[in-house]
Amino acid sequence: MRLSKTPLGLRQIKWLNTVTGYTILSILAVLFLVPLYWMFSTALKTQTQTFAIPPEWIPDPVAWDNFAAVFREVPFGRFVINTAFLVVMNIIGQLVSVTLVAYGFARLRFPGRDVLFLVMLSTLMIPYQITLVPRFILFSKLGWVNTYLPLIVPAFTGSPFLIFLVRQYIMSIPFDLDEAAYIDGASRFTVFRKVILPLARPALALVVVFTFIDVWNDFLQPLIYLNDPNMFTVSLGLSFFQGQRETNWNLLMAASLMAMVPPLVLFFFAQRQLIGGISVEGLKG
Amino acid sequence: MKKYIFIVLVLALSMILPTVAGAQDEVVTITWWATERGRDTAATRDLHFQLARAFEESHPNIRVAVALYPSRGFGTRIATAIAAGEGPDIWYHYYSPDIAEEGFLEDLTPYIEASDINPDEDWFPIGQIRAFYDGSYYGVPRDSSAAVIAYNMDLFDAAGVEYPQPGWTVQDYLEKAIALTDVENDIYGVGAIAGGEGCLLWSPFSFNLGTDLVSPDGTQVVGYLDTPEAANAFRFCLEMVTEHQVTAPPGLQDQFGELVFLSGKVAMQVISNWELAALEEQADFNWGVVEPPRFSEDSESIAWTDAYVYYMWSGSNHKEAAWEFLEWLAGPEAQRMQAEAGIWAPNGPQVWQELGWDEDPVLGVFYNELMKETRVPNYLRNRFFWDCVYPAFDNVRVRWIEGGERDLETMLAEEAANAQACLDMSIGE
Repeated sequence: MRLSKTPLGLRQIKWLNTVTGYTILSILAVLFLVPLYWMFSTALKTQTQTFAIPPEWIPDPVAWDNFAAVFREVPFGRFVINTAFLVVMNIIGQLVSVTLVAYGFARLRFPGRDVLFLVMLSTLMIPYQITLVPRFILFSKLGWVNTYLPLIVPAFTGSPFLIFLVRQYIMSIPFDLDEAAYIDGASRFTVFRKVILPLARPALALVVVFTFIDVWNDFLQPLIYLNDPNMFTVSLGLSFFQGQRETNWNLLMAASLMAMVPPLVLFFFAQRQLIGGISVEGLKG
Repeated sequence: MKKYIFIVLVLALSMILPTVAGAQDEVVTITWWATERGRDTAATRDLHFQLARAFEESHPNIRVAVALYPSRGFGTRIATAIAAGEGPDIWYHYYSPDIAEEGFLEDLTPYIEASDINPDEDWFPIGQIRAFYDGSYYGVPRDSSAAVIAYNMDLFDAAGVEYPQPGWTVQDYLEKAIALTDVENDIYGVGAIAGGEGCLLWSPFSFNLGTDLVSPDGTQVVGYLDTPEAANAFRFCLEMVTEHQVTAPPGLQDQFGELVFLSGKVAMQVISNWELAALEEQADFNWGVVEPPRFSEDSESIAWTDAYVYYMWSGSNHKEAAWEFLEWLAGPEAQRMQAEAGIWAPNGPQVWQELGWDEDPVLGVFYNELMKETRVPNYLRNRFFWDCVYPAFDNVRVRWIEGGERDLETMLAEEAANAQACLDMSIGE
């Protein structure tokens, strides 16, 4: 019996699949990009154009001055520098503390390790609001209010979530590698530094990205601990364009666009590590 | 012996006197926390420092440390600091008067009584009631605002509709809105706020629809929200959206309204004097303002007015100095400064008259509203309003507009009962 001939060859089916896939992805990409485009478009509108009826998709005239106006209305450059400083300090703090603690939980054997790990994890379930006032009192008694210390020092004590993440990753690294290093005479710290850390790079990239985004977007803590506007951060600065009764949408969007750039750039450069880290976490975590 | 006593007295006095003199010269620093404004951000920030410096010049023994925060989260900032025992000496905010029950506000009545302030004469009616609770003043008004109806003369002319006149009614308003709406050409009779819960909550309609939807102290909704009059009030606002379709698209109703009005496609818009600057600067059409419509020809128009309020922390260590600053801020010099800077309207008639604003064709309309009988807005009558009562307004709106339900009486009865249960529980706690 002869098989009937298919109307399309394999190459054509493959081509059709590719085209269909790209078409669907392109449509979805456009859908996802619409809010971003609207943000960009609003950033280039005058106040009146922001609520024009019918809505204006392409602003005419284009108000490029909105970007300059952001800097006239608030010290936005200062806010960016302040936030960048906090981001760097927090990343250093988290990398130091998280890796050490995660290594301890993943590789060291000591009595009560699992209980301690559980206690640490359970702190994730305490709502932030519960500790807000006690923390404020603590930092206030230390004389740290209106300094960056309350926004930096906690990073050096490690984030439970990030510790969990890195610990899971380290556990997925074969112990044989540690043993090989020990046989070669390496100390525990040498193993940590020369074996574990290089292999845990994708997880560390996650720590960097999560910390960056957390600090960059953090609104509540800078609001609570800082009094001097010259010390304020980007997220506080963005809120300056939102009053109780009015929002300066065009300037808010212009400032938001500028505030988006550093996380986007970071993601662009870190995406390979980041996606690698997430997929490994997903498979082995 | 007398000689020794004399020497001891002289020595004692010589030790005490410099201390007393030093105390007189001692400079007290008070903290003033404030919020940024979405528009005129830099100018608003500058005004705070100008006010503080001007006060310091006339009060050399008091220094004012100004701290400005974003509006969003300001309540949390204040609450955290007060809970930690580090609240500011004074700040302004937007509390409902019953917040006084929580104990962190200083009762300012003794200070006011001992001062030259006469609230009945010095402040507009809203300033007299905005922070008045249980027979005491817990704040002094920072400014004043009133709502009026702005109308686009060009659209009225094009549609051949007469401009609204003082004394008009909500029915006149609706008829004009219907006559002015031309959906095919994207022309709407009314803009933001006028439809849905905004109409019932934060607009002059809320007082001029023939009933009060919440009790004066904000603790009762059953007997208010579930009456036939309340149903009529809801019907008026909701039908503007669904049946008459005279309101601008919902997506354009987020803002208070002036931006939608500035599109030139909205014939009538509730605005307050906060929005006036934007209109004066940016409108490219002819416009006017008129008092809000009243319920009927027989009823009095009730003004929708409001004010931010300066408060003093009950835990302040410098209450006398803080009061001196508060009194100055609420007084004519500071009020004139803020008015001339174009940031906040003065809190009482005197400065309005001095500036000639009461005679101004536009500002005069606001002035007249500020002088009228007014009420505390529904949402500011009780501190549990947003948690307990607002969902009732929102649910009815959603059920009507999105769910297509039309049995208002049943909906209001259900929602009022839920809101009342929540209020009773919250107040009981």
